[in-house]
This record gives sequence, C-alpha cells and structure tokens, in this order.
Amino acid sequence: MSTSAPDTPLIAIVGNPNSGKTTLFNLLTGLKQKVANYPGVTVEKKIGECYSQHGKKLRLIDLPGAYSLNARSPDEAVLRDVLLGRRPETPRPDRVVCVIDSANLERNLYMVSQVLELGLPTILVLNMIDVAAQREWHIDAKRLSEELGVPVVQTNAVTGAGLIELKLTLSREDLAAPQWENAALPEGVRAALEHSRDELRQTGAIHTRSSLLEPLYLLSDHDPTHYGIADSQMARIHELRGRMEADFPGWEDALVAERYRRIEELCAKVLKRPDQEIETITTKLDRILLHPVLGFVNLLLVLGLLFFLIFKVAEGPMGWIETGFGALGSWVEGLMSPGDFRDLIVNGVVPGVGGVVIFLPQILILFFFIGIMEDTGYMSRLAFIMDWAMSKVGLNGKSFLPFLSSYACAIPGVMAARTIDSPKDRLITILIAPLASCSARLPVYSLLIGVLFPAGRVSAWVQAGIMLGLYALGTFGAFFFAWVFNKCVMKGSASPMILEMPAYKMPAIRSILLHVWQRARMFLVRAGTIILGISILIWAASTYPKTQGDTSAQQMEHSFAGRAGKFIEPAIAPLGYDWKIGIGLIGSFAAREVFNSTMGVVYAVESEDDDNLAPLRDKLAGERRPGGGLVYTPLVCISLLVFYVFAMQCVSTVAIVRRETGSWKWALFQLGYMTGTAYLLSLLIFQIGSALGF
Amino acid sequence: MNEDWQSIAAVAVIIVTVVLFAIRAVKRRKKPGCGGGCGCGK
Repeated sequence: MSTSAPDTPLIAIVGNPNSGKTTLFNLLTGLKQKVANYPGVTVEKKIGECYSQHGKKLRLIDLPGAYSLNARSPDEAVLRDVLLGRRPETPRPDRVVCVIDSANLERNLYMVSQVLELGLPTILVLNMIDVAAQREWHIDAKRLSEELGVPVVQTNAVTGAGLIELKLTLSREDLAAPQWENAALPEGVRAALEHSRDELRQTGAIHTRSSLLEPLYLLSDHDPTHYGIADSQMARIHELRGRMEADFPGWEDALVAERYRRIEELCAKVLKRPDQEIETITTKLDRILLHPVLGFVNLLLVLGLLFFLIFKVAEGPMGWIETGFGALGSWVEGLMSPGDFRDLIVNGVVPGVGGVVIFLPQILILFFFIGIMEDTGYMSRLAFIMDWAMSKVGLNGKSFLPFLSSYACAIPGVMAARTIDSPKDRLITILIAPLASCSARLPVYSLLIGVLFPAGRVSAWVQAGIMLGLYALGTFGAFFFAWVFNKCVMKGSASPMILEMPAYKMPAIRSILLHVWQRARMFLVRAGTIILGISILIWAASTYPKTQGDTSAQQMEHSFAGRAGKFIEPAIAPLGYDWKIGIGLIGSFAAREVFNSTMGVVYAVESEDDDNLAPLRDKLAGERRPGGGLVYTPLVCISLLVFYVFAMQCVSTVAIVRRETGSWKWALFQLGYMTGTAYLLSLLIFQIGSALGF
Repeated sequence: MNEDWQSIAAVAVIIVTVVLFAIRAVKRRKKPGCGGGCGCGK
C-alpha cells in the first residue's frame, strides 16, 4: 500500500458530482495546482497545494466525482483505488474532505458512509448551504458532527463563505478516526466475504493486509476497472461474485437498503425541513428552461449568443495576435540575412504557429461559456431538452452529455460514453461523437468564414449565424447517423435516461477562469510543441528538394508537399480543391487545426517575399488558379467547410476509439464513414453548385 | 549567419524535429491515450 510523505500530508477531496468539490479545491489551491492523467486511464488527476493556519504545507488531491465506492465507471474506480491506496503513483491520502451538497443530504451521505468506513480521518463539508437555506432546510451541523464523529464545516464554495473555518479544520492535527460503524453484514455474507478475501489473497489480487472492504468492492462492482488486477484475476472475481449471488440472492441490494435505513435515521436527527417543498428559483426557472418549446428556443438563443461572442468579442484580441506575429516575422526578416534558416522561421514557424495561436481568444470564449453552462447547472437541462431529440434517433439524453463534451474535444466525449449502460447506445454514441464540431474545427471554420465573408462586409451576426449553421449541420449529421446505425447496423430498443438536475447556482467565476487558464496553457503548449513541429516539417516538405532557377511557385510545385498535393489532386479536383488545398488536407489528417498552419506555411513559402507577412485570410481570398479564376470561390469555401464538418481528420480520436471499442473494426468503420460522407457531400455541393452557375 | 550555415541549421532543426516526433510516437505506443496533449485536458 502506498502512503503519503509524513511532512506534507495529502488530503483527498471527494464527493458526488455537482457537489461543488472542484470549486472548493480551486478556492483552496488557486493557481498552485498541477493537472495530469492517472496512468492507464484518461481520468484527470488534479493535485494542488495550500498552507495550514500554522504555515504547514498541505497537498490536496481533487478526486473524480462519484455516487458510491462501488465503481461503475473508470472515474469512480480511480476514486476507490486512491482511497484504498491501490495506485502506486498516488499515495493513500492521510485525510479525506467529503464535500456534500446540503440540498441533497441523504443521497450524498451514501458515499460519505462508505468513506467513513475506511477509517481515515475525515472532515465533512456541507457545501451549497445557501441552496438548502432557500428550501428552508435546517441542518444541525453540531449534531451531525457528534453522530459521525468527524468535524463538520458549512460552506458556500461560490462566495467563499466558510472557507476560513475549513482551513482551520484542515490545520487541526488531532483529527480522530470517524465513529461510524461499518455496514452491518449478515453473518453468512461476512463469512463468504472472508472466504473470498482468502481466495483473492492467494491469487495476488489483493494484498495480505487488506480489510473486508476490499473484497466487498471487488465483488460488488459490476463494470469495474480494477487497477493492477489481471484479466485472469478478474475471471476469478466474476466466479466468486456468481457464487455469492447464488448462495445469498440479493445480498448487494440488502446492503444498500441497510445503508439507506441508517442514513434516514441519521437525517431524522439532524435535518429539519418543511412538510411541503418550498418553491425555489430552480423550480421557477425550470418551468421556462425545461419547457418543450420555450426551453428549445432558449437553447438556440444561448448558442446564438455564444457564437456571436466568439466572433465579436474575440475580434480585437485576434487582431492583436495577428499584428504581433506579423511584427515578429518582420523583425526576424530584418535581423537575419537571407537563407534557409531565416526562411524556416519567417515562412515556417511564424505563420504556422501564428495561424493557430490567433484563434486562442475564440477557444477561450468557448471554454468559458461551457464552464458557465456547467457551473450554473444549465448543462444538465440541455441534456434533458435534447433527450427528446435523442429519443427520436433511438438514443437517450445520457448519450447527449458525451456528445456535448465532444464540442470541446471528441476525446473526452468518447471517454464519457463509458457512463452509458447499454453497449449498443455506447457504441453508437462513440461512432457519432466526433461529428460534434470540436474546438479544433473552430480555427478552420473561422478562417474559411473569414475568406467567404470578410469582416466589415457582413456583420458579426451573419458570421455567427454561419458558424451556428455549421455546428447545427454536424449535430444534424450525428443524429442522422445515430438513426441509421440504430435502424440498420445495430437494431434494438432505446434505454431510459436517469439524470441528476442540480439546483441552479451562481457560477464560481474564479474557478471557471482557472479552468480556462488551464485550457489556454494546454493550447499554447500544443502550439509550441506539436504545431511548431508540424510547421517545421511542412516547411521542409514545401522547400525540399531544392531546384535551381525555379520561381517560388515552381519550387513549391516540385517540393515533396507539392508532389503529394499533385498526387491527390485528381481525387479532390471534383470537390473544387487545387493541389495546395490537398497539401492542407494531408497535413491536417493528424489534427484539423493543422490545416491553418499548413496553409500558412504553404502560402508563405510560395510567395515572393513582398506579401508573405499578410494575414493568411487575405492570401487565401486573393489566391488564383493558373487560368486566373479565384481558388477560394464561395462554392469552394462551402465545400471545404462541409468537408471539415464531417471528416474525421484526428488521429488521436481514431486511437481512442480503437481503445474504447477494443478493436480496429469500429475505429476504421468510423474513419471510413465520416471521410466518405465528407467527400460525398463536398462533391455534391461543388458539382450541383457549379451546374447551377454559382 | 551566412547562407551555408543557415542551410545546415535548417536541416539540423528538421532532423531534431523528426527525432522528437519519433520518440513521441514510440512513447505513445507504450502509453496510449490523448495524454493531455490534445487540449481536451482529460
């Protein structure tokens, strides 16, 4: 078992989803936190630091939200494994802070009771105390503390109320182990678990000093990801579980019922609430926001506002970044004598990295808005509203949450599909998730919309409308394919959805800004590493082999990149694309936003120096074919936009889908159907548009 | 930096980039997943 270093105690922050756990963690640690992944799973690991009242350094770990230690998802499995000290890279916490939503006391106390049974010194935080007060709920914190034998602190993580009391409690060194008695196990079940523990010890699945809780969680987790337990051991666990179920039918349900009975008893002592539910702001707002018609209209307004902000508010900072990169290029050009290295910087690195970094403000606005929707509780309403639409294509609202995550990035979206119980629904959700327009598509959309409708010629509302249309097209495409897969590929009935509706609350702006800052840092690190590397390679491919006496345009045509573009030109010409766009398509196969950096490098290398620092958008708008016609006609721009709405163009997603589905079959199927659809629709748009004279 | 040295420097940068990408690809094979590099933060 791994334990923490004694001089810097490790404190785990645990709680149900939507209990305000992460907001509290952010409030305690501020910028002193590090985000990584738990090895083997794509679950975020957040560790931060704060200081006790006596100046002693404390390490805090924000564990994934869960409803129970009986893990049903990889997130919950991480929580359980860390608390049991099973993960070698994460020491077992010295203390636990259990954050609970005061307005959902009974449900939250379920996991608290399991955590208390672990015997670790625990602090109970009654968060969202304001929401409970709105309902006229009175929780006797002193009595609760006496009953559980742990300190209880009341907080409001949004306003920071109770934070000082929490810090004072964290500073206490005399925290005793909780007084909560372990779940009462019927004698037969206890004996069977003890027997199972011996068998599991023999196979090496658990260590020799394990408590009875470990076999209990191993045997009662129905979709477990047990860290460090081999497949052969899992087979043994399945066998033991089967035997337990045969000998003591319904033993797990009986344990759950017993636990809730004790929680009810406890609540009767500590909680006073009115006989009738008080109408809260949440119920009043939900009458509008969950209304079948008004709710949907509101959803469209919210998304319309988002895209308007993306175009209007981001305009200024994007201009500054563009000017900054232009000035940087000019400065390097003036500083160095002509040569390959200067070309590499001025025509490769600066336009390549600049072509992606320029979209940072838009991506930050997107993440800020998503943060606001999550923090206020509106995101769950969005899933509820969309449940109706999802049911039309044979899925449910539970599939919408992974789909919604995919608007930020398809990878967490595909991972989030693990929460879907039905294997059929899960697979279909994975297959359609990358059709949600992710943040990597945003730079490509913005660039092409800028070429199609330059700023100043149309209003930001029109640009926002087109962007919204592209997002809607991807969403519609996803629904259409979900319906097709349901009807033709994987037939079966839809499964019902169970979704928690958290109370509305004011967003914790500080916490959201911290999240946005983390995303900004990741985006810039990516621009400074992957995008920088790809820009260098694209420059090399566009520059070599060198030919004597050729113009820049001829040189580009003879380069490796030019040859690759020319090679695929016959296949993409019917879509209206020339060989240079072909280079962009090949380059962006790894990641969509690379299209911008590739085009930035290609046009910078090709230009005869006089306009190589002009914005990429202007270069694209002025690009002409050998015959004199514009390359980026409105029809070509639309064809290209539609291509990027539907094409996979993301190697990381292909790899994750392969891992999540367990075979290449579905990953390649997805790559094929998305690329095929993108090609076919772009072809139809260009050919029909051309025939109609556009 | 004269033109010859610039050519050598450019090629050196390209080789280093290729090597770094190769190392990254090998590491990724050992530890699949986005690894936080995709910007998703997961």
